[in-house]
Amino acid sequence: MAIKQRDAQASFQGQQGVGALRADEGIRAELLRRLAKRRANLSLFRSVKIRIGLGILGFFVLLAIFGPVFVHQDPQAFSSDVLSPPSAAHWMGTTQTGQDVFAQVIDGTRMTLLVGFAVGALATFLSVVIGLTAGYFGGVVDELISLVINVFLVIPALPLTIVLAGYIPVRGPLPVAVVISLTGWAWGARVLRAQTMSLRKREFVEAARASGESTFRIIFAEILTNELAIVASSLIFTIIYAIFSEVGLEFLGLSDVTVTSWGNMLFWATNNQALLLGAWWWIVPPGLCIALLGAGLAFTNNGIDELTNPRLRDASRG
Amino acid sequence: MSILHPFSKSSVDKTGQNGSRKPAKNKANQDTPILEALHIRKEFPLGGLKLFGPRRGVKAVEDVSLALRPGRSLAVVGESGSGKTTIARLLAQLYPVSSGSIRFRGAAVRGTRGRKARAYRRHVQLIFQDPFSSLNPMHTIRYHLSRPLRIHGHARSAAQVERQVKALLERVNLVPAEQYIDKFPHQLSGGQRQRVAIARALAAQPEVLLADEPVSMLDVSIRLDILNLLLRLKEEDRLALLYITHDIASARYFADETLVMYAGQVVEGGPSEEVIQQPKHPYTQLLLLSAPAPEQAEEQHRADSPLLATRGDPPSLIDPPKGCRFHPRCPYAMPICREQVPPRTDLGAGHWTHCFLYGETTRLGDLKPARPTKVASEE
Amino acid sequence: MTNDAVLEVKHLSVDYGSAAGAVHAVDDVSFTLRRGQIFGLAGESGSGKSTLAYAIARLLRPPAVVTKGEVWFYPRSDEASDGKAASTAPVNVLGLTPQGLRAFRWRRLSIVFQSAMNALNPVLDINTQITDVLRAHEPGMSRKARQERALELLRLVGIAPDRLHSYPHELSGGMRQRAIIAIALALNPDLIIMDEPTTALDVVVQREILAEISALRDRLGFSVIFITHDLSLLLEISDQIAIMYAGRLVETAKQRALYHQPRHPYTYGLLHSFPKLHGPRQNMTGIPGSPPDLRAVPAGCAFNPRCNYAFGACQHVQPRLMTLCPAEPEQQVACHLYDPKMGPPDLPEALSGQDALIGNAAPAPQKESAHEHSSSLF
Repeated sequence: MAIKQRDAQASFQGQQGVGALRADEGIRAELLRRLAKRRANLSLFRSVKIRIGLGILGFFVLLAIFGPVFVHQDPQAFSSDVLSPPSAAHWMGTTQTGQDVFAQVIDGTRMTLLVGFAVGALATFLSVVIGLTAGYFGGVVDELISLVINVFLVIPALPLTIVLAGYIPVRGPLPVAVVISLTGWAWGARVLRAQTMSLRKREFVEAARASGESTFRIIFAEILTNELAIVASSLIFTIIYAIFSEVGLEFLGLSDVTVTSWGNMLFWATNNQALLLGAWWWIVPPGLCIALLGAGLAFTNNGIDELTNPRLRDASRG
Repeated sequence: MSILHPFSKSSVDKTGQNGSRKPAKNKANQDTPILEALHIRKEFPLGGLKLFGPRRGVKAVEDVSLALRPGRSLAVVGESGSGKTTIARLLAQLYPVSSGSIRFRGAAVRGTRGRKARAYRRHVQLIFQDPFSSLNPMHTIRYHLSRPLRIHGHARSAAQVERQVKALLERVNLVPAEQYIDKFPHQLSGGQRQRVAIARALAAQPEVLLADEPVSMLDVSIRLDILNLLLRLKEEDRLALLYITHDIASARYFADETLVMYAGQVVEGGPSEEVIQQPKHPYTQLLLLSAPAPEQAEEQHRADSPLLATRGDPPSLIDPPKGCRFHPRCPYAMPICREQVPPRTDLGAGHWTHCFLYGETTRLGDLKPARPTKVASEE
Repeated sequence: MTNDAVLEVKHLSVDYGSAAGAVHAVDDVSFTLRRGQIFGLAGESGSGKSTLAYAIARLLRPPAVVTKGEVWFYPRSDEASDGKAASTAPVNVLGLTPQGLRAFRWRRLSIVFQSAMNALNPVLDINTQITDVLRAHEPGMSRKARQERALELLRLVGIAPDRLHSYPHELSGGMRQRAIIAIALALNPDLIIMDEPTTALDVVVQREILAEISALRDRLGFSVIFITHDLSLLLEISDQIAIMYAGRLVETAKQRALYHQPRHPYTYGLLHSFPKLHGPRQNMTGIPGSPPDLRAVPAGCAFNPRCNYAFGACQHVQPRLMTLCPAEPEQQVACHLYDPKMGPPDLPEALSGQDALIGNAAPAPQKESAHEHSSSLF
């Protein structure tokens, strides 16, 4: 019932355009109507998707925070049960050196999430600042910044990351994080730049200028607030990118391999020919966790629009 | 009607004016313009690299002068491409003029950014045409109204802001104010949004209000309400109003004086009633003949005018016609019209026009143009 | 102009959504369109005028659905352009099969949309767009015949033949609108629906286009449903005018009759919302409040919260369209003031036929409305 009302409202407003009489309002209203209709039609599914996504994320976050409390075994501790399948003593079996896989998975969550979210946040922050500045000012500023963005876009990220990680003398999560941030901000910046260029022509931006708003506030309080959905989406994508890049680097052994993390587990597992030996319990849990986390993030992405757009907030309440 | 309001002029006098360059020596004289544009020109450069030949640009406004006076409204009437919207934005200093000057209280206005601009905007405010896009969809009404209050220092504490925001909403008849203050723009109707836009402009406590087609996008039955609101505010605050429109009938209703523009040039001006009942410039006559006027539909003579037989479109502003820009469409065009821009001819009673049909002499000598028999106004 | 009907709409209702949450975009609308007549449909936002037109043209998409009513179309008895005599049986438009619809569309009924720039394909030139229509509907036509017809159409609407191969962006707004009209005329339809055809145009060009439409109608004999929010245009071009409010038809009358004696208070208010170019200058008010949100239409007469003359019955009973005088079956109004059964007070002076607009009778109260009617939205 609520959905149908939303349909009616969304479509109808698009069709008639409450109060709108301008000629080109026709196409805009039409697009809004179709968009709203599509959203309205999918809304039933989408709320399930958000729930799934947030559920998964929540699960992993809780796991990262509270997990180690419930694990009584030191993930690094060697034991004599070498390469044994899941059993009562070791719920997910053991590694080549007798380490408990389950303990490692739980412990590794923290590391993976930390790097992923931190890098995602840093890269997104960079892309917001750079993208918005380039988009708003235009002219020479835009040309210079675009040049920089394009250079970073063109450089193949993963090979660069590998090369950099290989050469930096300090090994560990921090250099990895820095390197991934440096290669991960450019795409978001480009998108935000384009969006800002389109938004800065909107009348409410001109109206804010006519009111006397300072440039800083126009960029960050007027324009950015309309890009929150994109920023949030970009953040999530960047987090996904960060997690997979991090896992990739660890898998190649370019991070500090003594730290417990999912990627490192995969590194050790492949190095010790786990699959060849039939030790699926070493590879599947961390792999599955990575995949699940990525899926959870992707699902959450779908729900971002509703959270950040007040117009759709009303619709979802109704 | 004479409710003493925190935003009416008398209280502004009490709190004093900040931001104006010269101290106000005496009360604003009725006839002294508060905001003037003198021979302003605006050309928008076209993109692209041009190594040879003159640079191309859109010559949107060509030698326009106008004056806004406190307590009086001036309408600028024209079609799309006439430059009327550009004039409003130039007066609001959203971009700088290419040449000519804008004077506020006699002092030249310069600079579109920074502190000077902000000080200027405390005095001159702009209302936009589209109530749907001039408000930020992500901010509440409270935010929209409180920003100008804070920027221009009219309110400091949260309590002051809240009180003044409510007072502003009441001033534009959005009552009860509590019902609107936390809403988002998409929750309001077009008319309500436009009232919010007007309230936002008033929040700065300006002396000049520039209204760029404020009712064109609103439903017909609520347009008059908004226009009457603006007129009331004009009376209460002795605002100088600029009213941009393509609807000449509403210019007659709203404004004391009317200016008619065509393709970036001003063609005629004067008291509204005078210009509309006794139009002199052929374009003004064409405009009046074309405007829907059901009260006149029974009279057939309208169909006879040679003006209506002309087909044509407003010229390209990138490569405008030389001389008077209306000459390609004008049935009375003379050779001189193609060569020179007509100077201003005073027609008496504050009515003037730029048309060689009414000029006494031209630079080519004592050539007095013959007056075609049908140029005189229709009634 | 003969008197036979070309279109009959009977109790048409269109809803958005369904069941409990449905929005009644068009509510029980009936009218008759005569051959060669220009029928003006006026209304503000939410009045349902565009929805009505789209319903007649079968252009509605879900969630819009016709819930009630019939649309009957009576074709002309002349030949179709392919030489075969066309059927003259009345057509039930809402019941047409997809094949029937294909034959019906453009040959019998065509549409001119609001913004030509939106309706014209920007990457095809005008010639291609006209001949495309011809190719789609008249497969038997030769290429030469199509070219000739395209030229003939352009000449009809007043576009110089050397613009035949221009792209839409190369034409001015007025010429684009003429091109759209040319396309609409391609198959010589009986009925053209024009949805705000001049809203995006300058006043001068608008006058040209209106004159063009009138001249074409005189010459070719088609009927027009002219939809607009600008009642003053209709007062100049149309023969019959219908006023819509909140999805309902509130008044229909001949053009002059509507102007000199508006019956419905909304019509009266609407006529008084246009400042006059000539005549005495006086204070005017529009209509207080604003058009209702269709999700929350007031009970009884939709206009009653804004009406100066509302009385008891208006808030409870929805007025139906009724004929005021048997001699004029097409002058109808939906207002309780004219229904003796509802016990109305005396007809107010403004509505009783005095020529209020020429300054004889006293106009409506002159104060600015006291406050915005916020109740209509929430």
